[in-house]
Amino acid sequence: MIGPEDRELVGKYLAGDLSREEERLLRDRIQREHGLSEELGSQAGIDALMRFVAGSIGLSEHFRLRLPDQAGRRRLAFLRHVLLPLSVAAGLLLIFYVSSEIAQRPPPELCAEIVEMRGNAELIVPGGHSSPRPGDIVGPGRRLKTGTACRLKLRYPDGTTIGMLAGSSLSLGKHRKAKRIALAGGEVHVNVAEQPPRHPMVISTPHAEVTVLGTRLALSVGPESTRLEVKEGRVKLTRLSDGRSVEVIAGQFAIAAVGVALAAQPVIRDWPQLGCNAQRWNYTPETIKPPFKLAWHRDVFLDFGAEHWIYGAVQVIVGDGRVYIGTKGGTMFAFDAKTGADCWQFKAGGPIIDTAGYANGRVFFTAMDGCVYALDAKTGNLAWKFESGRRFGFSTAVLLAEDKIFAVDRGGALFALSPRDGSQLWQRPYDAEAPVFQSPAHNNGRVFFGGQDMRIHAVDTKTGKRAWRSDQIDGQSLNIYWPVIFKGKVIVRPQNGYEATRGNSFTKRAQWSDISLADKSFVVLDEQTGKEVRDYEHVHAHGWCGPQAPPPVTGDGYLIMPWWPLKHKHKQHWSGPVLYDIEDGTGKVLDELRDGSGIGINSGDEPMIGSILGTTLVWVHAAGFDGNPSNGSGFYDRTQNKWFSRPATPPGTARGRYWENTQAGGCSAVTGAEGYAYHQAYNVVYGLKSE
Amino acid sequence: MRATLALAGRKLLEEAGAGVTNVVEGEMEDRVFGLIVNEYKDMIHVYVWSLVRDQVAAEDLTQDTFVAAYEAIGKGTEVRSLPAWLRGIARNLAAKAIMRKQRERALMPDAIAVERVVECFDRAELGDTWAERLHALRECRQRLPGHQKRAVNMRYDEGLRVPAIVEKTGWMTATVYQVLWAARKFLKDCVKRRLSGELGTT
Repeated sequence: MIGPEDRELVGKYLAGDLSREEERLLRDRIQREHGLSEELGSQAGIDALMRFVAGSIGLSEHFRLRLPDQAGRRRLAFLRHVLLPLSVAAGLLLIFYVSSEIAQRPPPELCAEIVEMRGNAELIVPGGHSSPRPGDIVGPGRRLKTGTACRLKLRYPDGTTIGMLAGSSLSLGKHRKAKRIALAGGEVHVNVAEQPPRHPMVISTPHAEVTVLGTRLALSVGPESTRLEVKEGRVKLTRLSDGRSVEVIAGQFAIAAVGVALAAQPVIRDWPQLGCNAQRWNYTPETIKPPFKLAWHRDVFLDFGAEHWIYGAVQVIVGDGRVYIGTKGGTMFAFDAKTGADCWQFKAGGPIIDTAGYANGRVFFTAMDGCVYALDAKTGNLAWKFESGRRFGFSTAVLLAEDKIFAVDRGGALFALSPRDGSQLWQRPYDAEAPVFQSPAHNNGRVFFGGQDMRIHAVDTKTGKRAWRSDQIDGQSLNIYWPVIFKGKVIVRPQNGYEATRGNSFTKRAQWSDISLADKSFVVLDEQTGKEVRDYEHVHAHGWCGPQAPPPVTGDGYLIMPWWPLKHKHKQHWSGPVLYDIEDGTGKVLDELRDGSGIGINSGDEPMIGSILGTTLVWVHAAGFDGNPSNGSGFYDRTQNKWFSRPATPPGTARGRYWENTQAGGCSAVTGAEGYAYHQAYNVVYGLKSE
Repeated sequence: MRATLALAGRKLLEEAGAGVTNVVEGEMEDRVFGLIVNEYKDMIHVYVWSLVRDQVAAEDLTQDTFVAAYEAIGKGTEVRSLPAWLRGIARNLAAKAIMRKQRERALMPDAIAVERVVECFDRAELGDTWAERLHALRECRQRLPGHQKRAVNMRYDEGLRVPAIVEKTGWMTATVYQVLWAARKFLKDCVKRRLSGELGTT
């Protein structure tokens, strides 16, 4: 996919401002991104025409055509028509002979055998392609592509194995002494036997090079990024865009993409809190690929009684092999993450309105009785309880950051607590001076949340003092969801009053006069100052009954948002997710995530919420993951640019139970860990397993 | 000589008011070719420039293109579309010139990119000409959105480089590149639509 960096490189090329390094990078990008070559041609053509029209290029006044004389013409003709063709033919024959000799004799240690195969694959050789079978030998210069439901395993004579997942494209390089693999897209799991020290195995992708001497790893290539996860040993990952490298050891992962910090990070195997991280990205680096099948489901209403409704926006969190979810009846439930079996339940002193958190063997949550609870995650026993002493109660999720627990109550008091004993860490809680119904987020020593004063508050985590408070933002309410902190911005989606505020002028993209588009539904603030950033493309998406959910963040540094493109001349009445790039001073829609299947497309006026499981987008229609007949919910595999349907609804659940409207109360984003995705809708908790 | 040349040049001669109705082999060879050069030299120069992006090299290649064309016509090469044929010669010569620069790999002309460059020039088979294309481009410039028009004016009319545009506008550098990209894209689409009759002319 062509990104802003590509456009800048092309711009520099056209202006003659490319450095050698940038020229190399552009050449590399053209090699890997075919669309870029086309765009470069178009841009270069128009650029030249514009320069001609402006008079900055053109033939000099002294240009005179000098035609060769007759004798010269004859000599030239002899050269062109006799000597040159003969030389070219001889050269081609030589090249053909040498290359065919080389091609016919690849070193056997660099040839791999297909030892396992399920589904359809394609073997591409110079001049043709065929359907490979187990037992086939794949040599250097060959390319393998796995189909959408295919898994294939290659084994070299030294025991090195490569497991290709569905939708992958892999070429074996032509190096004479070392294994060279090029992964153009998809995902591979590689188990590398010990290689000669001077000839390590090198796996290249459009974004990175991985150098391996002997280890186990998983490599996943998306349109904009390469993700490396190391299971054993030590691997060097080099980012192609700038040549920087990082060593990744067992239990770590790293992502190579332009604009994303190149660093080895521990592999997260839990979804420990709302949004997975404290910045509320709704993103886990663990790739959990579709298709999914329903592994288990628990109907808390039927199993435990009518008081156990689950509020719409509550997320299922995962920690230590269990999932945790609280109910309006005031009970925190723990189920086995793989089977859904009961682990324990704990009765709190008031309704649990929002998402719990998990850290270091404890589960933390807030409740409407004005208390924050800490339970032992294994047993469900109470570790401590913090009583705020205020009558407001909590209806927001706990925030785990800096080894502290943050919780903001409905009266606007933000507390910082010790996770060990629940003691207050600030002398006084921060007072927002307004009711607060939005869960807080955290980044760089500050906690951020929106109040019903329509301001975003930033609070210093050391002192508990206000760092800044924004001007009032447009909209009617900040009543559910959370801010997302990303790339130095605080992103919030207020409830914007679908019809109530006709005539607002902030409709940069949308020009549909049939329905007033009302206020902004997407507000971006500078993280440092709290000032609103307005120079971005506004993406319209509206809900009849509440705010749009905040956007999830992809591993390669983009937002995904629903977009209702009313500005189209055909006035399309649909909305679907788009890849959105938020840059300094700009921000724009890069791509619509559509594959023609219709999955992921919604009627346009209802909220959607997304989560990112590695390279998989899980997109949920607000009316329920399994409870809505629309095709809006589904899984989008970014490595294949393909949508997958959700699994069928289990009999007797969800469909038709609209007595708790998840649109008005918020919508639950899917979470994921250890190969499973989790969701709750209409009081049913679902565990979905990647097939 | 040159039934081919005569045929190819007939239209040009007629358009030039040369009064030639019976151009036959061997007649007025240089006159015909001179008209061809006059008609297409700017187009070929801009085309070659878009590939090599160097004024001196582009001028040399323009010269070489017409010499090669002259030679080829002398051998009786059949020419269906003169501008497309000339561009084909120019493209091959430009490719060789770039290879001679001994870069590790040439950025241009890559076959796909060249195809897109060609789309920016006249397409005789569709009945539009170089002159019509330039006219359409000038008209499309007037339709550019405000900030794109501003960036295009500064970049092409005033000849400002990107840092100077950044200083003048206060935009981010990345923004300038994005806006210019969008403007060029707009212009290409607009010219295409205008020439295919989707847009009216002013």
